[in-house]
Amino acid sequence: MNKFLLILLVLPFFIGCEKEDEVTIVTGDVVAPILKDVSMPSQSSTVPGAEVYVSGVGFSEEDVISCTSLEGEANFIASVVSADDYGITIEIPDEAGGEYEVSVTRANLTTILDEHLKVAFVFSVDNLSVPASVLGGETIAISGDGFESGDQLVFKADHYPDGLSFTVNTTLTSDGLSVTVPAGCYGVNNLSFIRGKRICVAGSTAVPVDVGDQLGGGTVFYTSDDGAHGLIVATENVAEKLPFGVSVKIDPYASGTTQDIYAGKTNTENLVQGIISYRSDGNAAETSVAELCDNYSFDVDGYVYEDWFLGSLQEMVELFNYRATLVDPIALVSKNNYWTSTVNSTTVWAWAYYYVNFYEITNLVTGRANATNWSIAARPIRQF
Amino acid sequence: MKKYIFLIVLFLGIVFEGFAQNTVSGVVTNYESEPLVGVTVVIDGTLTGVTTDADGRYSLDVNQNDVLVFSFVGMITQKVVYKGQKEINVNMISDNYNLDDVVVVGYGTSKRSDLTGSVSSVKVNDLKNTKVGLLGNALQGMASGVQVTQTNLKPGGSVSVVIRGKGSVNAGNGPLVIIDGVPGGFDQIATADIESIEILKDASAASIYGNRGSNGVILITSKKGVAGKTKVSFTAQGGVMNMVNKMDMMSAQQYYDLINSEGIEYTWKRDELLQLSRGETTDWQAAISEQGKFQNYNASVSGGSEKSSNYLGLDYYDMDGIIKNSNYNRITLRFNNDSKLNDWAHMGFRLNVLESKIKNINEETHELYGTIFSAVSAQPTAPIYGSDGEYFDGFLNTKANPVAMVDLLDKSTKVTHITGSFFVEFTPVKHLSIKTNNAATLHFAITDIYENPRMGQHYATEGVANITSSKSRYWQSENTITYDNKFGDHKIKAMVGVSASKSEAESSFAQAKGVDSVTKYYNLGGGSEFGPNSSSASASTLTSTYMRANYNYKDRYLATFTMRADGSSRFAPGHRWGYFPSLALAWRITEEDFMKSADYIDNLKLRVSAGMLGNQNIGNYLYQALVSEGGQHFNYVLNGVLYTGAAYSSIGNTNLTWEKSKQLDIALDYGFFGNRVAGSIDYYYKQSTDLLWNVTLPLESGYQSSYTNVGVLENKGIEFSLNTININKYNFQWTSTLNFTYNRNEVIELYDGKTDYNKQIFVGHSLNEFYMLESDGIWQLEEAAEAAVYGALPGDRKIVDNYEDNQINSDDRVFCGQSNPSYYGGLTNTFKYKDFDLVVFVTYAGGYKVRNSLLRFTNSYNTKGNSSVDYYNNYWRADRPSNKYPAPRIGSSYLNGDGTDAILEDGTYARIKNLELGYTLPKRWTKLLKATSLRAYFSVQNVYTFTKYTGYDIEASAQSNPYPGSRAFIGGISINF
Repeated sequence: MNKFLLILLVLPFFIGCEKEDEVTIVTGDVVAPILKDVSMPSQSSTVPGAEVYVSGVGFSEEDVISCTSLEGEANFIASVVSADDYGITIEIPDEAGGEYEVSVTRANLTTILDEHLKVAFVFSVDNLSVPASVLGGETIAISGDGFESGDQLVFKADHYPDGLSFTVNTTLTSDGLSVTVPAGCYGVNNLSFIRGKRICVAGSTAVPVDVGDQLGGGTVFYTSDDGAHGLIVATENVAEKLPFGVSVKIDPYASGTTQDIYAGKTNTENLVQGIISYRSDGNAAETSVAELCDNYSFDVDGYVYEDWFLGSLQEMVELFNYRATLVDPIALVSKNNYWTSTVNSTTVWAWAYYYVNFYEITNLVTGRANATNWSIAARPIRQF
Repeated sequence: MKKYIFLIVLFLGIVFEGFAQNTVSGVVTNYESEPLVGVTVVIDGTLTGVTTDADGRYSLDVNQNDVLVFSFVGMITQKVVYKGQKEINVNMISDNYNLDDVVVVGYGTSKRSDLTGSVSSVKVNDLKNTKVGLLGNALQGMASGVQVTQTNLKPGGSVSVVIRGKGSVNAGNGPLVIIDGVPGGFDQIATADIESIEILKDASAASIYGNRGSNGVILITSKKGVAGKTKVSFTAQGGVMNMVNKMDMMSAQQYYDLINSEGIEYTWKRDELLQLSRGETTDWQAAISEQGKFQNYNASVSGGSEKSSNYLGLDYYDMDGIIKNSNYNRITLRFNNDSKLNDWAHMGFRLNVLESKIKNINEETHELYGTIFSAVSAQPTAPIYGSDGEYFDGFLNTKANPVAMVDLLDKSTKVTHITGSFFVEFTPVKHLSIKTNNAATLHFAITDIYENPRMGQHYATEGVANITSSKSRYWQSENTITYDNKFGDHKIKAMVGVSASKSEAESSFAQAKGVDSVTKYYNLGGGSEFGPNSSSASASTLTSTYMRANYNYKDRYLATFTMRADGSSRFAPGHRWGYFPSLALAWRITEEDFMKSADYIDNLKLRVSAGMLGNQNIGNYLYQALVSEGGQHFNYVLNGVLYTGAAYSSIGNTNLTWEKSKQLDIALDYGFFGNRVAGSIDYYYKQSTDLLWNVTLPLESGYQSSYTNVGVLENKGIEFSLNTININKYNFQWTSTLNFTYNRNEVIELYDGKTDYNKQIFVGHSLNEFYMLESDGIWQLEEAAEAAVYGALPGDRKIVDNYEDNQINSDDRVFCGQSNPSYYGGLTNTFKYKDFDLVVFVTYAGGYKVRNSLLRFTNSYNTKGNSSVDYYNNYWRADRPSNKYPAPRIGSSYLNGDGTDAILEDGTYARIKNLELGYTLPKRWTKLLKATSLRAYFSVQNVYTFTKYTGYDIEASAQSNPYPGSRAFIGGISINF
């Protein structure tokens, strides 16, 4: 009995002291990487050889980022540069291009991301030098390292109609290559080289024109910057005898116009927006001459010029001035008064809309007309 | 055949023995296995006998079948039949009602038999049932009418002691604690230095303490040296503690699954997703906790001569809590001296020096940011350290990192407490003694806090350090004259006294921001921004006269009249003196001649007492109109310059007075069968009036509220105590002690005819009654139409529309139970077999509800963080209808059950608080060590709790940031020389 009790006394010492401190981290099954709010970088910034940031929460520097091409290109594993709380920075290999499915592998478990990585098809040319200004039909030299035989050069400009660009073949030279500037180019052109699917952006060059040149759907009547920029008048009127439009309160519907050169485009946009919001406020309004010019289009060999507008007061004055120099001015612009897109912002109601008198040949007459009562002509112009 | 031979030999042996006279010897010990000197050992029916020597040893010639009778004053007589044993060692135990016991009462002592009031004596040995914690904890379950609640389970945590129900709302319910005549606290004395504890519960016993006595009085008397052999004692105990009832919270995977499957909007942090991928869960509760450690050493030397005796005690207590970085250590030195100057004068002094340090974590009051709450609710998906190697800092609700908090939060309070007193007692003529007792206390406390910014969100981004420093000083002089004489059958004892005391306190607080983590609060000047700084000082005095007269006729009829007059500086001049009388009568029925024949009744005493007591704990200067100075409410700008302003901030009330408590006690003390069954039963009634109340004033008065005395509160109850000696053999004893208290608390009156105070206190109800909405499970799919009436959807928590107005609002609240136990008590069973002893100590309480605030977070999905596994498995889903927990629909009404009875739990419990097995080494072994006794023991504290409560610990705070409870395994050794 005594011994039994003694054992009872001693036993709890061992029980009591046996317990170790508890485990702080409880380990369960490892699962595939959990990633939230993943968003791929834009294609334009995802170029071969670049480091890009894939945003998303849950990336680790230990992650293996595998990219499987959906366009038949070679698959690759992107090296991880770093990972932080909001994403992971990876390196795009030089040979990458096109769309890839991306999977993230950690501890042999893989998560496939919903969004695809789109790598721009680009190639690079080091030490590239392009002449600042060239003439149509001229053969020019472009220097740079990394050109290949078969590379083509594309001339493209924002003022060309949709679908219109000029692609020419190149000839490799010791310094780079030589190329003939295609006829039909004008204004500031963006250049890019094409090699198969890949592209190399090569900056821009100016192709100057002269006043009187027939191009861009009409006649050049004004140039600046040594012919790199200018204005082109359409071959026809969009109205012969039409009020400007409904007499609307200038502010806010017709505000924000000026008289300046190159202001006609934004003037027209403002006037069109003004009439749209005037209508959306429940008012009725006929199509205004600003809208007619804005909607005007002109087809040249299947390419449609759609960027017409109603010229500002100064632009229409320049048209008048150029017309005055012509032998047959009436052939360019018929006799009439012509609306401009300049509105006098200090005048509240109808007598606010500037016009230019093209009845005159050399004597410049301009003034403000009543937008609803005056019915005169309108001629669209465009700029480059 | 062998059996026959054996029987024959045995028979011959018995016959041989039967006719021979033999010598038997042995040792007689008390329950503590200490040798008893002077025990009379006689052979029954003869005059042959001896007494035990200084080692408790006896030797006697006896015949077979002689009955040895062991008797000793205050002990139950033990009889042993001699059957040829060579040695008969006898354990003797005290009887349950020793009439000659001296009981300490206020300003004097009394024989137990002479007591008329209700005084509970705590057996000092029973205090050992509580090994971890302070003295206050040890009182739990020890005496009827004394309700001890642990308010904080942290190392060094305090307790709340309420005697006979709460009698106050705003002026505190804690009893007056007097240590050797000086007001003190439970944390100011080492348990091992205590000689006796008396609890004065009724008006008769406590009214000698006047306007400080209405919550009862606890008198603690320290040990003093006894003339004779110098006694050296050493006790060492230590052990480990483990958290009990850890909250079972969702794993990372369950947490992720809940959020994903329920389409809950959640901003995942990178480190959380990485941890999820690794399949890991952070067990935050484990991360902040550790195995607690406890050690306590006590050494004492006592002894002296008839002229002078001394007691020297040294105690060291050290406890590392189960939450990392929480610690309490304390060293106590006590020196008591009693010297006889001559035949008519003696003197003595008491000195106690204590130094303690408590290292705190963020507990209780830091409800939603505290360490424990943060650990319970921290996302299991969050790692302790982030990918950057720093503490992860992405917790919901701007919580700090729990592990960072236990690692870095630096918050400690250092206390130095010195109490000294000396007394001189003269007996100029016989029966008359004059005593002057003078004491002083010095108390210093410094709290240093440094909040390291690395802990994360909740804390400032720059280190904040502050220091709170306080000093308080107290002195008192108590002078009494006592006359004690007997005239035939009439015994008279009268005492009159005067006393004066003064308390002074001052404190200062300084803070600096931008303090670095090396110099912290040691160099506040190193900060970049300072303040707010503050300081304060206060003082109070108490002057009193008192008297007590005892009359005793033939030891049958007893009467005690007590009167105290207290003059307190806390009240306005002209209103300072209060008078507190009490009268008690007792009838010792068993002393009547007609009871002499009933020899199985040893004691029957009927006691009745009534009186009035006061409670002056209303704070200093409260009666005065106070002026506040400085700060945003008082400063003003004049001509662009900021000036310090001052203005009246409270309205005075010169009529402010102490709370009054009228008390009645009717009791019966009993003892049967040689006092083997003894105890008492008390009925008490306590009516508290003139309660201190901050009454709201009309705003046109210029003040928001004013302190005044209003209201009536009532407590009535029954106390029952029973001590039994169930088995009393010379080598095996079983004793039991049971106490039970039932208390009913009721608010009788508020003020201005109000029936409730802010819908928190109600006339006709208990002071702490829950008034809440009644929840009724979860709205089910088939109840969709009915739920829609209340703007609820299936899956939302259903609240009972008790007001029946098709809307749920505060009008639907009902009474849901009270927070104070309506009954409580303790049960101790002690077994002693030869040198082994076993104690099973149980405490219990019941008839109340606990507001488990943590349920708001564990049993609902919430934006604060993690929920329980039980919630995960049982929340309502359309495909898994449940009536237990609502769907995780953020924004749905009463989702977390706050304000409803869903967060109430039945608090009824019974706890095996101590299971202790001890072994006292046989004399022959202890002798080798030159020791008189050596006991080794093993104890499990907080063995098991029977309760429906699901929180950490039924005794832990019910707030959402409680310090968890623990189970302790403790071993110890005590040796006496």
